Amino acid sequence: MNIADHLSDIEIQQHALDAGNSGMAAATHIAQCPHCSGRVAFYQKMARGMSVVPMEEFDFNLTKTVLAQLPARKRSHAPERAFIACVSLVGVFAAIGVFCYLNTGLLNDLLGKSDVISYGTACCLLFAFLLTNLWSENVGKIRRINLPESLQHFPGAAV
Amino acid sequence: MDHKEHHKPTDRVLVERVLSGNTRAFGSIIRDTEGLVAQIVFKMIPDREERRDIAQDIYLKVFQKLDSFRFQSKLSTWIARIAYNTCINQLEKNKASPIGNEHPAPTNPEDEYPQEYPDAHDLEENLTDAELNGLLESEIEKLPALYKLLITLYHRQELSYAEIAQIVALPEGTIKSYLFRARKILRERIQMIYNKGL
Repeated sequence: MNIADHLSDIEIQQHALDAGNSGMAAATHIAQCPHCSGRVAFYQKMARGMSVVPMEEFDFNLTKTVLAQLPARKRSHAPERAFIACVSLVGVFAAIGVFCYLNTGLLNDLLGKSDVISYGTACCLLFAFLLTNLWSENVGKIRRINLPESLQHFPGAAV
Repeated sequence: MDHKEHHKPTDRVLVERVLSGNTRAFGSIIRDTEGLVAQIVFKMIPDREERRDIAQDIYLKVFQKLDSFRFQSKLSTWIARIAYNTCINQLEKNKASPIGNEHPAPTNPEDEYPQEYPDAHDLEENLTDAELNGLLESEIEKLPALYKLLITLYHRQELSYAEIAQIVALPEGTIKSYLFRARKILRERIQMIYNKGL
């Protein structure tokens, strides 16, 4: 490149702000041309200046103002969980009742074996935990699907 | 990374807390993002009273839509997107006012400014940092709203092209191109002011 043929403004900016991607030819020219190197230096100075321009701030307490206006968010999942817990408890007691009624003799034998009781209890607890976890995950997803006004349903607004 | 920063709850934790009814967690979200939101609102909306209403409106929308946030971006980027859209809607409402003429995309600002100015070498050497920073501050404010915003998000907030693209819903190439133009306008204006004598 002839030294009299100066680089375009875009090439100068690319070199000034992202020297690694500006290309060898541009770098060689800038090293030899005082006009272009002056512009590169000025853009670099400008970039430094733009990174310290004072930031504007709201002149009121935004957090306080917004929190004062928030509508109460419904904690609607709490009654659902209570309902599920009640139904589960009733189910468990009913199952135990039926089992005791049908297997009185077997139950007497089992109560004598502590390892069977502890394994059985652990399995029941694990099963209950998995059920609760699965439920809480899916309730959230189902609620999100049911929101027709959701911003992210609009392709242009989805982030 | 300082100690406080290290123990900061993640976006997911904050969102889940808000969704379970913890409004203090929402306060935390506001404090974390109001700097970015303020930059967007200040660059897009010139009227002080409108800014106040819009800032509140933005966070009320965020609160209402929070359960639709899918964690496909940073929470701050998603909130910034809502802020940008809210400002755009406001500017569209104000179409008749002079504010509307500045926005959204500048047509061809290069046509408005003469191309040839004396060498930048003198400028770089003779303009002190304080003088340049003062000029930049005032000249950035005179740019069209979108250019102002892009300059601030890229240079001041140090967001990536990808993050800016998510906020303003423009391709990364367009954002780069607008940034080139905006910086060129700034350089030419500063040179013009310098040549006339500070």
